[in-house]
Amino acid sequence: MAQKSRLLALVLFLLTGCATPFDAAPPSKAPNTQSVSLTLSPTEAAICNGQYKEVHTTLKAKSELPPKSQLLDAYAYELGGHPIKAISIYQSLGDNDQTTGPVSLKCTDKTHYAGDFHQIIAARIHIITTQLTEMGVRQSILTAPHHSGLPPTIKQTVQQTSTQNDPVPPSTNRVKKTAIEPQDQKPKAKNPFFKPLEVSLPDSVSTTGQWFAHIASYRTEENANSYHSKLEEQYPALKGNIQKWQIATSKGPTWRLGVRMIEWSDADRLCVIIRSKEEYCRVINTTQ
Amino acid sequence: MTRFSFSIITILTGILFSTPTKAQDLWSYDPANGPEKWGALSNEFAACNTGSYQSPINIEGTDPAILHGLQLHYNVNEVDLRHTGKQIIQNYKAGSFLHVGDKHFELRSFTFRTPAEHTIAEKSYPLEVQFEHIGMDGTKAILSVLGSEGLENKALKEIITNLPLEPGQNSTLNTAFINARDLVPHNKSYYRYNGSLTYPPCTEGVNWYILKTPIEFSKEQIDLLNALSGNNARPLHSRNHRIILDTNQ
Repeated sequence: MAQKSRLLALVLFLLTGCATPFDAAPPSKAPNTQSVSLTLSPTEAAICNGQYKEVHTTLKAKSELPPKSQLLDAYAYELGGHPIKAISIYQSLGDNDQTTGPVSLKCTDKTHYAGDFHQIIAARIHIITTQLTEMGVRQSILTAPHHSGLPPTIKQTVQQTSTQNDPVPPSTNRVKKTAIEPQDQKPKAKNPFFKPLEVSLPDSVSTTGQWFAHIASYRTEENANSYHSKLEEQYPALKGNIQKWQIATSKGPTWRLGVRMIEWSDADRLCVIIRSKEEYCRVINTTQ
Repeated sequence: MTRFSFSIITILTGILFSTPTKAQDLWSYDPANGPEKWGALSNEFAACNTGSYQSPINIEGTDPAILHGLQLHYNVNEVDLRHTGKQIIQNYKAGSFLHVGDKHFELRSFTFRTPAEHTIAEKSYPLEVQFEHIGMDGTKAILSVLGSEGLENKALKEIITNLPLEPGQNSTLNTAFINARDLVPHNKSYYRYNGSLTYPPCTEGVNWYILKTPIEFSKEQIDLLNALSGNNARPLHSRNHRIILDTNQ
């Protein structure tokens, strides 16, 4: 009887053999346009077709991403040849204990992943870590880049000038009156020896991090959404990690944009770098 | 006896000329058997057409990472230049190494490409010096130094003095010495990706290390190398979603 059960289990395993949960998925030379099932979401379909950049474009337009979408985003970065970005998202998802349950990405010709959310993330991190170590990345500092890398097109430079539509830095408690009021543009004297530091993605970036590196505030959600992409252009290294945080103030609701981190020191370091560019940044404890 | 000797010579000459052409002699950078046709010239070159991870590529959309630094332990070597008609190659004796973390690659040769094969964010350079290494396990590693137009390069000046001017010529001198290290910039921050040889058989699995800092060569030096070997840059290939790491180490 036990032998029959084992045999049945083996048959079932072989039948589902194609659903390898942790396929390393080497990129194919040409996207398989025939492999898209009608039941897939546009994001999933884009991955099945090898159009990884479209995944980021689609997801970037959404304000709040559920963990499963973030997983797709990370997976698209991984397959698109951007493991550092992928692993930072995987790690932030891995830190989120509230997300559990099964997830899968099945194209008609291939199962990319299927299984428990955290197990899949652990497996993806393991695969990327192995790849990167093989390429010469020093494991001990795997996700601590010190610069932002070359952009896909011509290198962007950080804009240090601002316009009247620029987000206004929120105030501290001492100057509440000017919290989200526009400021006049005052020409700043430039120090010829001043060299701003490069913004890089901190190690402990996490969607649930306690420490919020606060970059800008807006009175309306519409404005916050509108300037979200501008901030990502200004700080390409933070792309995909700038979050919106709504709070209630005496003047009504306010939308803050910034990056959440687990470690205060990471948030503080990020703000120091941003302030070195003569831009606003302040670390806020989101639990208070 | 004379007749017998003549017959032997005739037979030997026949054998000599009927020997099939080596695959390595078939390819060139000319349209007739140039890069687009390499894959079809010989079965040995199939990867040139069918490979998924070919070189060169345009370096863009890099992922910043902290990689092992490049440790160059290159010795002084006698001038041992070879003009193949397609490229100028300086062979290197055993004992010079590139160390990357716990990986060790021995320098075998270096060559000049005019114009450069790789581009950086679509920027082209007039020259690329490629240092070809081999690891203990047979893995290849190529260190690439881009050359920009500027001041005369003193290290290259020494090489140019001894350049073989005709295809097929060698220049081996035990009185003239060069050190490959002199053609490498002090700043060794680099881009890293996995690719292939940029010439037949286009073998994949090559570790590419492309230094970010170019070194200067005078226009005359670049023109001279180009005049000798012609345009010997393989066209760019698709990145094909490969990882390109970028380190400032």
